[in-house]
Amino acid sequence: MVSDRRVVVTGLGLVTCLGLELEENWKKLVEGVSGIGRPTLVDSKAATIQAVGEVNAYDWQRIQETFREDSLAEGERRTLFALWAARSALQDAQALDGDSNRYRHGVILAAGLGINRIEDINRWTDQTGKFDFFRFGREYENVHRESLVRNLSHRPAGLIAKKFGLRGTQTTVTSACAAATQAIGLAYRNIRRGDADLVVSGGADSMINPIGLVFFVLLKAASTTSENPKSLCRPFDRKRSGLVMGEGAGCVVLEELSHALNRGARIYAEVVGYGSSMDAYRVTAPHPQGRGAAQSMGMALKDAQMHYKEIDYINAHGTSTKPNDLVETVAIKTVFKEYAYRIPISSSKSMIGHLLAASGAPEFVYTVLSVQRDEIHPTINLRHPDPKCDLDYVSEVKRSRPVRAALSNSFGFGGQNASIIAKKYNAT
Amino acid sequence: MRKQIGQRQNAPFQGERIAVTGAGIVSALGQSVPAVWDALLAGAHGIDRIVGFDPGGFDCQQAAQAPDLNPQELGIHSKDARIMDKLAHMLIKCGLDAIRESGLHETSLPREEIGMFVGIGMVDYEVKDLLPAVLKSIDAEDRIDYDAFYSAGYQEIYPLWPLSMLNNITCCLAAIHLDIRGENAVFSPDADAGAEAIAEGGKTLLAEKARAVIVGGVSEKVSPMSLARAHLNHILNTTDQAKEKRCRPFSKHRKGTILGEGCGIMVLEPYSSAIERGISPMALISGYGSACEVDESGPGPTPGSIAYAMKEAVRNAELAPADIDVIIAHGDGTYSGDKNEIEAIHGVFATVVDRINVYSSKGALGNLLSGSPAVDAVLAVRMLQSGIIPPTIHCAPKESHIRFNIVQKRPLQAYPKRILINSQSYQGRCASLVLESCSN
Repeated sequence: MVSDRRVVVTGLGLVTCLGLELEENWKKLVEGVSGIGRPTLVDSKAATIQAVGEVNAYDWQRIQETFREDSLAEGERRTLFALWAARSALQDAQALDGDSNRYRHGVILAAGLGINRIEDINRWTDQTGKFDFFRFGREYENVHRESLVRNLSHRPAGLIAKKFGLRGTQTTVTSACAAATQAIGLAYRNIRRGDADLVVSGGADSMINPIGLVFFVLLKAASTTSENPKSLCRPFDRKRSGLVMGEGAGCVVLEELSHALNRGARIYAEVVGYGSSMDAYRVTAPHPQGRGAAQSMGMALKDAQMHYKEIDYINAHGTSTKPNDLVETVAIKTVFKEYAYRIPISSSKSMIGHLLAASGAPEFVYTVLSVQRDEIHPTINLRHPDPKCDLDYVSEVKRSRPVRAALSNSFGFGGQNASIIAKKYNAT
Repeated sequence: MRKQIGQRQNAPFQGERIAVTGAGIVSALGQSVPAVWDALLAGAHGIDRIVGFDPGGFDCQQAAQAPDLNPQELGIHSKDARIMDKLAHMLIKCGLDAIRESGLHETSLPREEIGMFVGIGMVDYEVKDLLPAVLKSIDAEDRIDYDAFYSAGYQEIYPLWPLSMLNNITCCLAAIHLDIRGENAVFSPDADAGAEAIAEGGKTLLAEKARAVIVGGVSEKVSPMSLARAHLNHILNTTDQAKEKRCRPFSKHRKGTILGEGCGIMVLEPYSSAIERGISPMALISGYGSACEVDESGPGPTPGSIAYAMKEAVRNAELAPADIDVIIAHGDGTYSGDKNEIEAIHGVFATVVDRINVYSSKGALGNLLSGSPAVDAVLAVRMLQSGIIPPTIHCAPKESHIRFNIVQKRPLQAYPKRILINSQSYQGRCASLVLESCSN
């Protein structure tokens, strides 16, 4: 595509189990602090999952106090996470109060599943064990609102648009775990081709609820061992046992370069490439050779018109599941050839867990910070090398080295993949 | 919607255009484009009492449900059938029809260069999938005992059930079935998401990130949950005194919308590559615009933002409002939605409003949410090809202050060349598309 429009990152916002403030959150991450702990939101010793990355109670209270009205009106944690992350990013970009005519400012957000309350099913099930559809129809007003209305996928994006007066694009991407990287990639494309000048993008998710807690157990994708929660998520480790759920949100403010320069905005990094693909293989497993994963990385590089040797860091999808980490490793080797062994690769999920539909959002924030600061956070808990995962995963200790450009991966259940590249901003 | 070159924003210039080369529809009125089209011309509608569960307790018991498709006829293996529902069946059927019509399956185009962008509504759980787990987890006081649920109850759930709950799974199943591997995204959940999918697909072609794209949208499934949600969002016709509740776009007697099931899919390609491989494109997609501002008095966008989206789409197509022959309105039969859309059309098309023809498909097909814009786009393609506009069902008597011409009662032979399609979310977003005949 011939286009002179460049896209830069001017604001970052985070909500994860490592905190609400960008600097504090990043500091813990580079120091290798795990935010994973025992679940407190769901109280049952019988739950198979006993390790999650919850946003801590104090932070949650802060969010609720900040958005008091919304916290009364909304039942979903993810909606308030999204508001916090979007406001932080806009504040960080000093773009909270734009001009009143924000038709060229928009929001593109990833959304996941939302809560389903099994109490609703019990409530309308009669003595004989049959769900009474007629009575449900009479009494639907009594259904948990978060099961039906507050869980609408575009609710967070809609609230952000309304609250911050963004009148341009308002899009919700629901491509499972690839959704947030796709959302940010599409925001980049929107700005680059001239459809918008500023877009708040990212995602929010939380599935730390009863259905969420059995969701990945049923799919045999979750780690269910009862060992120390902090050491449970171990991407690329031989003893990795499945994903550990996190929750939270990440938002970035993407902006057209001259728009950012004209208002004197600080520039974190430039977004230079994006690609997405589909495995078209199986909905239950990634393609064994990582066909789609390699394709999305390749397309992002091509989009950026970059050689793979210009990438100095990969923020991996790295879920700590057997198939993903193996397939991602294979795919990185396919794309980066012998250079694959020389690129530092790390997984943020080892410390914050898997934020599901939102996972690409904080991970892109971290990727941008790596590019800006020449610092790479470690993959923690990687103590038993897997002979099949033999790349440089920045085990345990952060790395300081020049990061000219970095690539972030997200691969979704079902087979949708996305990769995005951030590069050091250079005025020329 | 042409290729952007240089730094000027949305500036007119020569460039590649986006062609429609194949289309598929499934709706309450039929399972193919010709079947649906003929039924619409005959003035039929697909709204009836809901089947599949007892809707008797709801205030609105009507919907335009699509008939079930036979998975075997679509070549779907029985092992996949359990996590596939009607939505996936509809998407695969429309995708197969559209690809066959375009001849894409006979080209040597690498599958990596075929993209897919779809709008998909909310996916709700089926009570039957969770009920056994719930029954196994009830304590003596008829409350959920979570210890029981976590230790044994949940094991009653089919292990792949979680996949069926993912909003993207319909798209992934279709991609596997159609072997599509290129650029992609799933948008959700309202009509604007379906329009966004079409526009993003087209723009992906212009950016040369794909050489063909499958675009469109699928409705929600009419279920106790989707019906309850629509009631809670106050969009349904629940107060109509008539025995049978209908969707009455732009009618003086409109009382709300009616849910519908369906899907619309198109194959889009760069105009030049369609010509190169000897295809005569069915239509061009030439403009897109969107805006977002919620009307505090209703569930939809303000007249100002609807107007902005229409103006942007027309400008993006390098046209003026006077060039538009037909508007396929969002026209969902809600009081404030239609009121705001009428005001916006009157404003944008002020000087030519008396010769603008307006059509809404929702009286006949119901409200397909994210499926509507793609179905409307396929209908627009048929209008451009045949020169005929079908009648809008159940709009008589029309709202008295309307100054444009609503096509109603019988088909109108109007030979339109340029058609504008409107879509709205119930959260204040609106998106408009422009389709043109290839002979312009």
